[in-house]
Amino acid sequence: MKGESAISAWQLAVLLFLSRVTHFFLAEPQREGPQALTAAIWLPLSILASVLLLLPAYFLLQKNKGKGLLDIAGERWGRMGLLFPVVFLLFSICVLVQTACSFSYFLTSAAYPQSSPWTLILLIFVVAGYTASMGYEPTARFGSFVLVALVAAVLFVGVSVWPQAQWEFLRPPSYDGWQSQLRLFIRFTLGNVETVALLFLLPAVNKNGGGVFWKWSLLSFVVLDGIILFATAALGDYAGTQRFPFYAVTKIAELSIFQRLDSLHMAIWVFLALIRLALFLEVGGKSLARLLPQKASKYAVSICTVVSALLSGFFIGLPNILEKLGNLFAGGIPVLLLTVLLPILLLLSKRKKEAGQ
Amino acid sequence: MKKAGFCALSLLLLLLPGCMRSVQLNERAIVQAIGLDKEDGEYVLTLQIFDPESEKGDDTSGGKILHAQGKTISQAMRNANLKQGQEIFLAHTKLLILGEDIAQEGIKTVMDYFNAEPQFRPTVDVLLADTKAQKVLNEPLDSSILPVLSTKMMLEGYRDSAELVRTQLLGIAGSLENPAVGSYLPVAAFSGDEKNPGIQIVGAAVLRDGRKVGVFLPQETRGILWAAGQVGKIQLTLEEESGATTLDVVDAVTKVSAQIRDGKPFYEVLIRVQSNVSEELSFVEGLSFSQRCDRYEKEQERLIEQETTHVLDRFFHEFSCDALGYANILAQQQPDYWREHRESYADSLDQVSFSVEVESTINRGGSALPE
Repeated sequence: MKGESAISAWQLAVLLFLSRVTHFFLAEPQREGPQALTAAIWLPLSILASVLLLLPAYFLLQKNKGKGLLDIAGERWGRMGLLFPVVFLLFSICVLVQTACSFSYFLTSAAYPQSSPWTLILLIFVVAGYTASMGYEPTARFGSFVLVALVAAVLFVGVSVWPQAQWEFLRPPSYDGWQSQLRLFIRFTLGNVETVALLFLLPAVNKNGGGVFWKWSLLSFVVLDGIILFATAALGDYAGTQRFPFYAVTKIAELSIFQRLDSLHMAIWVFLALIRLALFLEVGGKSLARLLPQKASKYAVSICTVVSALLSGFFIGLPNILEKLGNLFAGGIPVLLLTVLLPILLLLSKRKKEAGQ
Repeated sequence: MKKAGFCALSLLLLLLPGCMRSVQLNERAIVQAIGLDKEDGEYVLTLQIFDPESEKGDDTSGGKILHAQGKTISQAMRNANLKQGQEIFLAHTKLLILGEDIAQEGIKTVMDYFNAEPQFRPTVDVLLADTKAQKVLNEPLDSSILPVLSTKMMLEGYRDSAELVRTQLLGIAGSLENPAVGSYLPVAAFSGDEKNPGIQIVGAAVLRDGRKVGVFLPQETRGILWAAGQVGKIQLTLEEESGATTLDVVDAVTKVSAQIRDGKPFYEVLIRVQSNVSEELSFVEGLSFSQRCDRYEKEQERLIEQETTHVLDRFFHEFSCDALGYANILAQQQPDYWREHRESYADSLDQVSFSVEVESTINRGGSALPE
């Protein structure tokens, strides 16, 4: 996998971070409202829990350096190993559909109510498909520019809303009871779909792949905690009326002559959505390539793009199904399956073989 | 082959000029202020529209008024669109004035509409008209009406003199979301005559569940600002028997803590004020400047404490309305109590008690050497 399109640990960490921020912005923020402080506390704790959950996969990849999960599964399980690319492909398509529909929903409800969701889905997939076809490295380079823009935008918003922040809206963790805290913890730990992309793309890192997780976690912790806390403190009860609270924060942020910069913020969020789609198109495309005949495998990313775009266009009219899909991911079962159970099965199968020898 | 494909794809770009129909500037009606009334069950919309051709061309003058009616606000907007012939553009709206009828009936549905409207900004100032909103916005513009920017500057003036409680859509919509808290809105009235039209702030209306339940007079407004921690750089005039003294308030911070006493919420309000002596007309023979400052500090503390206590008393015990949002502090600082009583909080506000403490500091006496 290395050499094909190798990237540095920081580049992968940035890609994963940008993808996670997009999810927070498009799909989850309204859930953080009443328990922002709890969320800010549970986020670093969920990172520690993720470390424990990823240990089997880490050992597996350490023992098979330079190989990806799909390679290892192929070696160990033969034709049965094709289960891995199938599962990764299905997972990626679900993430892609959810992201594209959320993105289209955001633009048509918050910014351009008269535009067609279909057109937006089509356009973003054309660009994301092209980006993914270029490989990890160009996507990562583009990601570094987006990161700079995002950090600048978040800092601008933070500084401008600081004077009007109402900190009394940050409720203590005990406010919502342990059940909702548990749900939040599960969502942060197992609802984090980027963990799957991390395992998939880790072998593409040219050296020191182990640092990716910590770099990604550090970025996530600092920026996401900032977004969660500021959105709640700046908006107060108003956050409860908004589907996209952080976008509402950008609408009220003003500093000196800089006012009404929500369009600029929107451009950054479009770039973020683009990166998330490109990232999972690569994961889906690489998985699909394993299932196609060798001659057709070079069209895997394109096929994945077309299928995802068609499915997104279909599901955009079925919000109930999209909500169920979102709840399924938030419940953590798909991530648990791909990042914990399947790697453990691979580890066990290896032990069996070694025991047989 | 590749070049031909690239050229074909490039030509396709001509079909993708954007996601939406383009609208030129001259096709837009840029709304500066909106007045909304309800008459005979229909919404009456008054739009103050920026019109550079009608006046001198600078952005503090020039505009026209458009009226439209409809069963819903959306229908009224659509009718305005049809009348105007241009696309109504709300992104630059700076002021929303609601009529008295709407405040009596409840502002929730109106706020829901503007809150959901993507073009509308959450930072738009919301005012209540003492009678009809159209009366405040309605005077003919060609006889020098109230263009929105001069109205906004006038409102800033009221704020500097602590006679205006600024309320934005953001705050109102938020308070409607939380059943435990109420809100307040400045009340505006048309003043002057046809030649010299003007707008005047005549108090602050208190809203519970989105409905008007009472009014504060302009002289009571400063108390609301002290209690809400929204006092900016204002002037305070202390009136003593020996004469008057004006203080410039340079900094004011209000801290509220929530406790439970005898099973009921108790709010401790601490206000820290720093002022400078601006003008003294109350010299007392034999007192140094430092000694006079001590007197001013005490007098300032007494005045602020009196104003704040009066306002809190009216809010909690007369209107039974937590328009200052103290419930959020209670929820944060006493989560166990809040979990049990959040449903009944709004109905038991007359049992809420409070204390007000003021710490006042006089920093200096201007650039002249004090006597």
